[in-house]
Amino acid sequence: MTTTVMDANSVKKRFSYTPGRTMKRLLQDRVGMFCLVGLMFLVFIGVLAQFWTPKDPSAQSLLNRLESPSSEYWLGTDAVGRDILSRLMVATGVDLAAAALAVGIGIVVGASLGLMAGYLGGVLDSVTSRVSDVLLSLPPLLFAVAIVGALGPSLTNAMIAIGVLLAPRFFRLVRISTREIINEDYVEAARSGGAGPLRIMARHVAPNIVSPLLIQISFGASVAIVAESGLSFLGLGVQPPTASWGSMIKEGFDNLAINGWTIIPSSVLIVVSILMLSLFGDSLRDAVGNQGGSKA
Amino acid sequence: MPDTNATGAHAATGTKTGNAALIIEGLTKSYPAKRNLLGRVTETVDAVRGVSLEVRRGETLALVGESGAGKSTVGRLALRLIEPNSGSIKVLGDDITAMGRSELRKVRGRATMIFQDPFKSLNPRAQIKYSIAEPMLSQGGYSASDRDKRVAALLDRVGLTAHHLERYPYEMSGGQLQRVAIARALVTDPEIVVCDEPVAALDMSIRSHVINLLRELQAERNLAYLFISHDMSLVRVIADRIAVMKRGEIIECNDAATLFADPAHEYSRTLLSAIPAAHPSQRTFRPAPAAHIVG
Amino acid sequence: MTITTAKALEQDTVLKVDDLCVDFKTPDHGWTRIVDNVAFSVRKGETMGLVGESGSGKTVTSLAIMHLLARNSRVSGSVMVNDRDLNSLSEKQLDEVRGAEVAMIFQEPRRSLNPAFTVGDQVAEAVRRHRKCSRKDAWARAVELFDRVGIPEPAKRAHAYPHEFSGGMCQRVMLAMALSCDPDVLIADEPTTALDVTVQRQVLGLIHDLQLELGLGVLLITHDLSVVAEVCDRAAVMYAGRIVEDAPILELFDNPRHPYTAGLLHAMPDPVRHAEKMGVIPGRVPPPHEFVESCRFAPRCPYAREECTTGFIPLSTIGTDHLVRCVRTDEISLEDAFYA
Repeated sequence: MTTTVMDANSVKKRFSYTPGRTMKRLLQDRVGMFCLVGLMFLVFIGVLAQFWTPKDPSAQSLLNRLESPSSEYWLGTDAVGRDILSRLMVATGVDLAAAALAVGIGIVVGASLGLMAGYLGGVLDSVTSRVSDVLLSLPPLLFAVAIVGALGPSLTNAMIAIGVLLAPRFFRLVRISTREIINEDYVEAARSGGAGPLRIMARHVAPNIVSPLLIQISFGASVAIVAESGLSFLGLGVQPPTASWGSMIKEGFDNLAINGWTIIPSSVLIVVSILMLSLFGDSLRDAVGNQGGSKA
Repeated sequence: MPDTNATGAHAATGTKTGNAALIIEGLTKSYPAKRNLLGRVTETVDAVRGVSLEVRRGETLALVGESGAGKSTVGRLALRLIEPNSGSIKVLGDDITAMGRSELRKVRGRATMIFQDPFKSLNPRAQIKYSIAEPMLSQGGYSASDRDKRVAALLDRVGLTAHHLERYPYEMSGGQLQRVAIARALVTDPEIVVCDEPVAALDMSIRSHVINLLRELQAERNLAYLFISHDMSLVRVIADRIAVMKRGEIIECNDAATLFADPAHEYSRTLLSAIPAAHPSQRTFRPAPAAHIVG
Repeated sequence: MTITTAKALEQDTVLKVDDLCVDFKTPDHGWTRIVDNVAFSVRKGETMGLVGESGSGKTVTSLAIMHLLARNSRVSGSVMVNDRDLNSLSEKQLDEVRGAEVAMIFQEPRRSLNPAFTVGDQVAEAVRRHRKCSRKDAWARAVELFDRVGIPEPAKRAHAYPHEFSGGMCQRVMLAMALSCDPDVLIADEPTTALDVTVQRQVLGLIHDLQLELGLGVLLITHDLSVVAEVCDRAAVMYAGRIVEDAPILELFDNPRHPYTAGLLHAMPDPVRHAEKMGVIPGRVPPPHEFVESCRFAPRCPYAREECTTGFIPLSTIGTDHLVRCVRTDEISLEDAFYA
């Protein structure tokens, strides 16, 4: 026998989960805030690396190859004697920028198509939905490999591939949200006041899809990072001598027998950054609460 | 003189003077219920079948019936928020049934709607001042100072203050928000307002406030109200004429006093007899309680 | 807190709530008291109404009685069903009491039914929960109950799924489930609010018939005074977490002694008095974190004086059976209250 259980939140739904409180709840979520700070720190490192690193990231020193951490090389050296710490800093910038690019492509393509498909429906909707379904059914990494294979191995092409990979997810989210929102009473009220499609999309749909979109972005970014690592590991992403987390893992992997340390810094950084992105995404989702058209 | 033709009853001529603000004739609307493998529609649900009615300025025509009768659909068809399959709609003399988009937009200012749940009919991420002003922005032709003046005037009229302008819906109560919705519905000086269960989602003690306000505004502006409701006891108090709907059709239409005194159609009788008592002494299926013996 | 023993309960009282307080832990305001000091009793064969608007705490009260509140709540006071205080029972003991001695039906019957099982299965499951009997017997009892609650072709309909039923029918199924183990108390939380007026009449009539037949005590929670007028023997009015008035039904309607009650009555559509204007209560219900110790209705009350805002105001008895929480009740006439 099912019974409906009341709790403080459903009783006070009119007072609790509301737009204004989102920021407050977000700021109070210690884990989420910690992750946000951590992510901002990584961004800072990435930007800093453009101007300064402890040592020249491409300076080779064949006498000091594959060394463990020392006072001179704080995180050790890689296969050709380059300072891992410096390379890691540069790689951070590369990876974060690449993730941003991939997510950016995904949103621009996915969200705009999703908005149109959701609003206009009809043939456009059918066609784009089918395409999106097909893309989603392909195994992600293979798909990315195929695209890069076609375009040629480079970081940019890898990011395009990942962007295309992410696009259907954004498409689906935006399309569904759009469809829900245009059925809401306030959109009907806007139409009864004479509002046209542009006003409705700009003033009613867009502001109300921002929250779910933000959450999807943070998860999309983690997908992008993993994908980049995978591609670079396979040699299809970043090309030497540019450093990225994925390529550094590959180098470490190749030289595992000689010095097991060298694989660790980049691996740890990937895990940490994904963890922080996911946790932050979770805390975003909790802070936003029952928004986005749910009938709580 | 009441016309109680069971199929497609026509609205009786009103007792109030003034032109008919809204005339709908033979409106139908059906939705696809089943499709075959090729996607062709094989079965339809007739939500509205041949509804005709008239509302005059200064009068309230209540459209009553149970859920699923099609009342809300008629309300939306009357404003062409959804497209009718057949029939005609005349707003203030203009036939809007086949109007193009830009022409229709002009009509939008003259016939507006108030929705049932104010928490849903106002964009949660838009400030009150935008929500009220939006119809003016959509239709164009109002200067910025014009808009500000109207918004301020209406806000005041519905009993709210300037510091509500920058608020968001979640910061306000249901009663206040419904008054915002009323302000929005009146900001373009309409002559007709379709009220779709305007107080059903509100607490009892707030309802009377909103109803009083609607009545005052009607008297001040000579508004025609198409008042959709399932609450018969409320309708009894505010309607001039009542049209009873069942399964997409109007089965009876008459002025309120006559309908309540002597309903012609059996369904109307059933509906009226189901109204719960307003006082324990008027109970129907339970024995009325014995008067309290003091001492 | 009073220590209640079996003897303290009147012979025919089936539910006695005393000093009930409910606190919720909210993310924004910590522990807040939602329901304050609620006390009333329901006798066998009597329908007690608990009236209030949203924010009054009436639903929380009913859920607290049934111990259906979530973990972020605290309940104190006593809830006596027959001879036992539910607040002192363990979860396991409560499981036995719920359904068997006190049962509840809710506002939206469709949401209370599991869409994946037939209605027959669900009622039979309820039967087997409290009685040791075979599946076959439980099913038979379910069909018997469906018949009693007026579901046509009960044996056949028992195999149907909830989505195949209308709202009114679902509510009948809920009643069948609630009554499956012959409870002594039925709590109905806004059972007809989501239903059409004709269906509402049928469901209320059904509850009444079943009450007569089974000698149930019914606690009917509603915001609709006309439902109260139609079926209740007695009613308590709640405002902002407290009971403000409690009286036999005629007395409540003819002689309300609390301004809020008068306001509610005068806000009801009344063709005689409301040709021009309906009564209006200005202001709004305060949220729980703004509750005060003194009169919570004072900000909206045209009769409020200084004595209303200083200190706690208890429920006082006037006449034989009439409780009111208002210090000025003897001084004021509520005849024209809230007509602007």
